[in-house]
Amino acid sequence: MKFIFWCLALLFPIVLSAQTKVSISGYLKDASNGEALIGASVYSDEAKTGTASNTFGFYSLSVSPGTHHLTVSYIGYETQKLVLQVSANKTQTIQLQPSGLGLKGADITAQAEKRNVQSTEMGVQRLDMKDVKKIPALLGEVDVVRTIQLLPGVTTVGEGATGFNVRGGNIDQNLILLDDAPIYSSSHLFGFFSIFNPDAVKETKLMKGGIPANYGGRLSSVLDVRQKDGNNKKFAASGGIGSITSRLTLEGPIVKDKASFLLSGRRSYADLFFPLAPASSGLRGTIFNFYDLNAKLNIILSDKDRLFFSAYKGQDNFKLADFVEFNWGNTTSTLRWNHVYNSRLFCNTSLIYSKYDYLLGTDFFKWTSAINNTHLKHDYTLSLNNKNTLSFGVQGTYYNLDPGKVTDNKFGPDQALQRKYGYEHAVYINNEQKVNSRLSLNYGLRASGFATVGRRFEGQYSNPNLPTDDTRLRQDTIPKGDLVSYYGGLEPRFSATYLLTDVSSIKLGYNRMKQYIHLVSNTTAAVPTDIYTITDRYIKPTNADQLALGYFQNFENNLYEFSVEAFYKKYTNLIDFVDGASLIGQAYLETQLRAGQGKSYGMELYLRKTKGTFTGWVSYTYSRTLRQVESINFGKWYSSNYDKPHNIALVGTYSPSKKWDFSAVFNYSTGRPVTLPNGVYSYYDLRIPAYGYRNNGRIPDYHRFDLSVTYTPKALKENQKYFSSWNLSVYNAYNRRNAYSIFFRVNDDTGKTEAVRLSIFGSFIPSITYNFNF
Amino acid sequence: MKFKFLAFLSILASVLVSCQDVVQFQVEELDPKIVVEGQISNNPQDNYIKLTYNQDFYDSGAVKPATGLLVTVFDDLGNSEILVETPVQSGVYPIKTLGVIGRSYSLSIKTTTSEYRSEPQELMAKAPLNYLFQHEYTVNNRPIPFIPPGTFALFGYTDNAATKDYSLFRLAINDTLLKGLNFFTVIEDRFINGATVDSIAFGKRFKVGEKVTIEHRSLSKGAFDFLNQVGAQLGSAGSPFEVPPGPIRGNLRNVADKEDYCLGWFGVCEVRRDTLLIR
Repeated sequence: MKFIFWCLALLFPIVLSAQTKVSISGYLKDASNGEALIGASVYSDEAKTGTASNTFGFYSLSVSPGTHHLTVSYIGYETQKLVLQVSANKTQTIQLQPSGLGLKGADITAQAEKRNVQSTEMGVQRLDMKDVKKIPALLGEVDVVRTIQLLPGVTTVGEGATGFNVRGGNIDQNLILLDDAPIYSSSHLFGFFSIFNPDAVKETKLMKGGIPANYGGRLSSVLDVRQKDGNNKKFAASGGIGSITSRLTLEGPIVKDKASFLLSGRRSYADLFFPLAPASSGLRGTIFNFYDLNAKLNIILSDKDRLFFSAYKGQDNFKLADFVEFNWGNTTSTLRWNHVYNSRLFCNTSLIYSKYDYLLGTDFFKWTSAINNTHLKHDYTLSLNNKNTLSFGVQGTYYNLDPGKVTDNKFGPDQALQRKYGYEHAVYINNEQKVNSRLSLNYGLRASGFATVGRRFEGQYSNPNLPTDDTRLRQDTIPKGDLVSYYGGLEPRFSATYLLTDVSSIKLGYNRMKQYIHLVSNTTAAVPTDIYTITDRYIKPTNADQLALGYFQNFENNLYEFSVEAFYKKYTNLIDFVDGASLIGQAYLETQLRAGQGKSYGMELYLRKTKGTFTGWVSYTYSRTLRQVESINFGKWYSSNYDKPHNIALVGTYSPSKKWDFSAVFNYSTGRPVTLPNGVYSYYDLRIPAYGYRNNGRIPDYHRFDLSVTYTPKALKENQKYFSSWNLSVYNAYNRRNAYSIFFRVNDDTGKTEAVRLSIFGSFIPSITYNFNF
Repeated sequence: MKFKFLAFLSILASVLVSCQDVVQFQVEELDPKIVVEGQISNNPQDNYIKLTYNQDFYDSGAVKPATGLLVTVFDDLGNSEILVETPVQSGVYPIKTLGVIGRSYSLSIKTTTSEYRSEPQELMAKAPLNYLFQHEYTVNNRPIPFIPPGTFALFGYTDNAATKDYSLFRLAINDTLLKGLNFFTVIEDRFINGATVDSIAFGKRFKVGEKVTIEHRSLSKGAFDFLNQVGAQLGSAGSPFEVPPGPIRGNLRNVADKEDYCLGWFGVCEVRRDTLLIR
C-alpha cells in the first residue's frame, strides 16, 4: 500500500501538468463489421505525436487545443485523414475501411509501418490471421501455434507435441490467454492441432520479452489470443470443409451498431467412419473426435460502457468400444466491462473462469482430474499527457486443483488425491513515456503473491530440503482455510527504445517474472493426463530475469523489416524431475521434484518483407538452454529437453493476382537432446541398455518443406456476397522422415541391440480445404 | 461397406501412422561397471549373487563374469557372511544365510580399488495367491476386443492393508521362466491397498499338459522403482508420451565416490511359487 501511495504521489505533478492539454479519444473500428482494431495508429501532424489503440480498440491522444490533422492507419486498412477542431476534450470514434487487398498495395502510412522500430515493444510478434491462413498447414488445419513455431525464439520438442518453447522456457512457462482466460492445454489430438479455431480469432500476439507489468504468472511468454467481437453491421457466415475438420462461424448484429454475436464451431469427423467397421472388429462403438465451440456477445451499452461475454468449450473424445474411454478439454468464459470514465481514463474489469479436466475410464476404474480457476481483473489506462500513458490495476486468481480421483474402482475403495487451493494476487503500475523525439521508455512494477491454503495434508521430512519417501517422518493435516505457504515479490519491468534514425533504433529490455503454478510432466511431450501443481512448503515459485538488447531497422521505404535481438535469461528455483520420477497418482510430489537453476541465452535474427506480390520472412535463432539441479547428473549442468541451438525458418507467399496465392515454408532445427545409452548389461534374462548422463546426445537435425496454393475464384457479380477459396497443401513435401526420437532396443529375433528412429510422419501429407464466407 | 471402412483406415494410417527404421547411431561407450543380479530370500534355491560386467552397446558377445571379488552380506543384527564364488559358474556367489521376514540386509562388494555397498533393505512378506486356475476365453467373453480366444491362467491375491507392498510376478512353463517383459510384471499397492486383486493374467495362451508356474516375490520400494524403470525403458517405443530414458542406478554405490555405482540390483525378498497343470 505504501508503494502505491508513493507511485501516485510521484505521478501527481505529471497529472497537474496535463491539465493544459485536451484529449481526443474514442474507439477505432473496422467499418465493415464494427470489430475493434487493436494497435491501430492515430497521429496528429500538429502535435507531432501519436498513439495506438489498446486491446479493446480504445485510444486517447493528448493535444493542445486547436486544429488537428489526424492520420489514422492500420495494416490492411485504408488510411483515413481527418481534420478536427478541438477546444475541449473530444470523443471521436473512427472507422477504417479494409483495403480489400490485405497487405498487397495497401496504403499504409509510415507511422504504422515503423511501429516495429519506434515502439518500446521488444520480442513481440503479431500474427495477422489473413497471413496465417495462407501458410501451408498440416492436413489443411490453419494453426496459430504451429505458425508461431516459425518465429524466432520459438521451438517445439517435435511434431505432434503440445505447446511450444519460448527462449528456453518450458511449455508451462507460456501464459496462453483466450480472451483473457488462461488455457492449460492448447492442443487437440495429443498435440497435432491447436485449439484455436482460425475463423473465431481476431488477433494473436506473442510476447517473448519486454512483457508489460499487467501480465504475470508465467516466466517465458504471453500468447494473447483475442476472439472476434462479432459483426455489428450485418449478418455474416464463414467456414470450411477440410480433410480433418469442418468449420462454421456465424456472426451478426442483434441490434445494429449496438450489439452483436459470434458463434463458431469446429469438429473433426474421422470417427464418423467407425460405424462402417465390421461387427466382429469391436470398433463400431469407437469414438475419436475433437471439437471447439466459441461464442461471443458484444453489447455497446452507451458511449462510455461496453459489455462483452465470451465463452469457449473444446474437447477431445476417445472411446474404444466399451473398454476404455479418454476425454479432455478446456472450458472458459469471460465477462468484460469496459468503462470510459473520461477522455483520459479507460477502465476494464474482467471476471474470468477457466477449467481444464480429463477423464480416463476403463472397465476397472474411472480416473478424473481438473484445474479450476476464477480470475478477477480491474485495469485502468490513464493518458496523462501526450508523453505518458499510465496503466495500473489489481488482479486476483483463485485456484482449485483436483489432482485426481478414482471412482468405480473394481480393485478397492474409491480414492482421491488431496485437492489444492491457492490465491494468486497482483497489483501493478506501468508507464509508457516518450522522453523526447528519440527516447521512449516503458517501465513498471508488479507486486505479486501466492497463498496456498488448507485443507491439506503435508508430509514432514527429516531433511525438508531433500524430501524423499525414505525420509518422510509423518503426515500433518492443515485445517481448511489455514495458510500452508505464502510467497511473493516484486517484478520490475523495463524497456527503452532509442531512435538512431527515422527507421532504425536500438532497444533494451529487462523483466523479472514469477511463476507459482507448475506443470507436472516428465514425458517428452506433455500429455492430456499431466496435471498442474501450485507452490507449497516444498515447491517454491520459479523466478526468471531476462535481459534483452536489440537493433531494429527498416529498409526500402519500410518494405523490409529487420531486427536482431540478443537475450540472456536466468532462472532460479527451476523445477525438474528426478530420474525415474513416478508422477501419476503421486500424493507426495515433492519427493519426485528437485529445484535448481537454469539459464538461456541466444540471438534472434528476423527479416520480413511486408508488402508486394511476394511477402514473408526469414528467421534464424541461435540459443542455448541449460539447467543445473543438485540431484540430477550429480549436479553437473545439462541441456534441457528443448535445447536446440540452431533454428531457421523461411516463410514466403507469392500472390501474382487476386486469384492465386502460393506459399512455402522451410524449417530447420538442430536435433533435440536425448539421453543415449553407453553400454548394455544383462540382468536375469533381460538385456538392459545402460544410459549415461541426462541429455548426453542429440537426435538427428530436423528439416521440412511445405507448400500450399490457394485459389480464390473471381467474383462473378459486382455485389457478390458469397466468396469461396480452395487451399491445397502438402506438408513435408520432400518426404523426409524426421526423427521424433531415437530409441534403443534388443531385437527379439536376433538378440542384438539396435537403434531405432521413430518418425511421427513417415511421408508427405497432402490435404485440400474448401473455405467460404458470405 | 467393409471396403469403404478399410479404405478409410488405409488412408488414415498412411497419413498419421508413424514409422520406425533401424538406423546406425553412434554412442559413446562406458567404462566397465559391475552388474549385480541376485537376492537373499527365504528360499535356498534363490539365494545367490551373480556378478558380471556391462558390454559395449552393440556388443552381442558373451557376458563377462566378475570373478575374484570379495562379496559380503550383512544383516541388521551385525551378522555377516563372506560369499564364496562357486566353481560351477564363474561370477556366481551362493548365499548360505536364509532371509528372515522383518530383518534388513545389505551387500558389500570389494574390488582391488573400490568398495561398493548397498543400503539395508527389509525383507517384506509376500501375500499368498488366493487362487490359480485356468480359464477359457471365447469370442463372446473376451475382456477386451482384439484378444484372440484361448486358455489363460488367472490368479488373484489379497493385499496386506497394514503394509506398503510391492510385488514381482514372473511366469514359467514346465519349470522354465519365460524371457521378456511380457512375463515380468511389478505391482504396487498404491491404489489397491488392502484390496483383493482378481483375474490377473499374463498375455499367454497355454496348451493342454503344460505346467504353469507363477513365481511371485516381495520387493522393497527401491527394487520396485528399479524394476519399474527397467520395464518402462525396455518397453519404450520412443513415443512422445513416454518418459525419456535415463540412467537407472543400482543400489550398490562406491563408498568413496558418489558418481560411481554398480548396475543391477541386490534384492531382498520372500519368494513363492504356485503351479497349475493345464487340462
